Amino acid sequence: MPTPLYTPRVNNNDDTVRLVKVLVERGDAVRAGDVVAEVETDKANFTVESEQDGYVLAVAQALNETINVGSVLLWLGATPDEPAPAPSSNGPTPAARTGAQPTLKAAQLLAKHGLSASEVPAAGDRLTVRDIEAYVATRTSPTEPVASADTAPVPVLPRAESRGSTPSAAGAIRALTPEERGMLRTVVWQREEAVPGYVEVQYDAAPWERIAADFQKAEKLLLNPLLALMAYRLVRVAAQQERINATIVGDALYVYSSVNLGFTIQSDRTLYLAVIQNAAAMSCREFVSRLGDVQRGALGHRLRSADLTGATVSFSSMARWNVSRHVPVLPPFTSLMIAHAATFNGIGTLGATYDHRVLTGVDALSAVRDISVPEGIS
Amino acid sequence: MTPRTFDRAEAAREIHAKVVELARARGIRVTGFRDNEVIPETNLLDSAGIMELIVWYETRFDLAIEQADLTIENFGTVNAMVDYLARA
Repeated sequence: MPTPLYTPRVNNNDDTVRLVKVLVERGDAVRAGDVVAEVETDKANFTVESEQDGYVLAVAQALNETINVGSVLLWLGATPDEPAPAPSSNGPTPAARTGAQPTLKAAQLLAKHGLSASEVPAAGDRLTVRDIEAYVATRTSPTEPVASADTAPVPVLPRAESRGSTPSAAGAIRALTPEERGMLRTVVWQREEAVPGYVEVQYDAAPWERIAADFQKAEKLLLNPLLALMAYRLVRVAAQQERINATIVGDALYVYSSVNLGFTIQSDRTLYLAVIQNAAAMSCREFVSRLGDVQRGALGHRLRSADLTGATVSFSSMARWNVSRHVPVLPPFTSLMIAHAATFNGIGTLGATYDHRVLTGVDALSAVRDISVPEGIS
Repeated sequence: MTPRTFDRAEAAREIHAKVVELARARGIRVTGFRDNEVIPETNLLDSAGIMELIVWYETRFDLAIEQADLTIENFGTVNAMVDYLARA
């Protein structure tokens, strides 16, 4: 009995892939694990392996075509002379139906067009972006023949538009708030551009606490400056080691000309990465004061755009919530973000997320160790 | 500065209540907190909590505080915060 080999999902964001290579042909014997094809998304190429021993009965998709995840890629049989199913029965091509659950991207598109899932026919089990594009095309082109749902043309979408996560559990879509959208754009950078790694050390917190207490007393500060001083230590380290204060652009290292310190601040439900521009040019006292200003600005939701852009290295602490470890997401175009966590029994934890394209784990570890010691802070 | 006219007792009550509210948000039950206690030394609020208190204070009393003014002397106690308000 013919067995389908389905087009695999290679990541959560691509509902389609392009078939770029077929390594077998009708009659070939394959074994489970043999690579039979290659597909690509807009980010990478992936191989497709046979899931069983057998013979190739037919290749169901055309080379270089964009094909749906989950469609039949090829048919396998126990013998080479079994008949393959006719193309018309090639995989899930059910009659269009309405009321199918939309994918996340499709739901967003529905909202954009003011449509509901119940009025748009779906070609498959889920309502996809393609279904909606096809439906909208028929509604907005009255001079063209109105195709039936079964034969509606399926436009080839720009790849960026064909992305979309497809949660299986039922849910409802709402638009992102500006703050949520900002955070999404920030973290997506790491997924698509950086190669993040994480290292961590434990350290004796007492020297830092003494330094902070002395500084607070000497400057008559209302607030304990511990985090500000540790962030300033990062600034000094980054000023001395250019690769920490750098990123990758194309095939080259882009070394920043100033150290702009990003510092995470949670205000209500908004997470800011406030930025102290040209921090290495400041004295310790100036830096602590400036960071206090932007912290207050963030808590009052009144930061300027210059306070939120251009970070070249960053510092984040979750000690306030007694977190013993956290792995921060690298802000865009940075290679190192220090993660400060709570101190337990005098032992603190400092970690770092780093861009492995720029820094090795040893580089990051060396920076973390430097920051764990309060040298040059006064 | 031109001293502003305000109800000292009411201002103290509001600031006191805000300290208690922020402490409770940290899961701390507040008992016997006095207006002349140095807030950072009570451990009712951490640095971020004190910062929240200051931002609330600026908004509530329509003040813009210079970073250099954020000292224990000016804002260390509820009473000090009321005094600062009187001078603002």
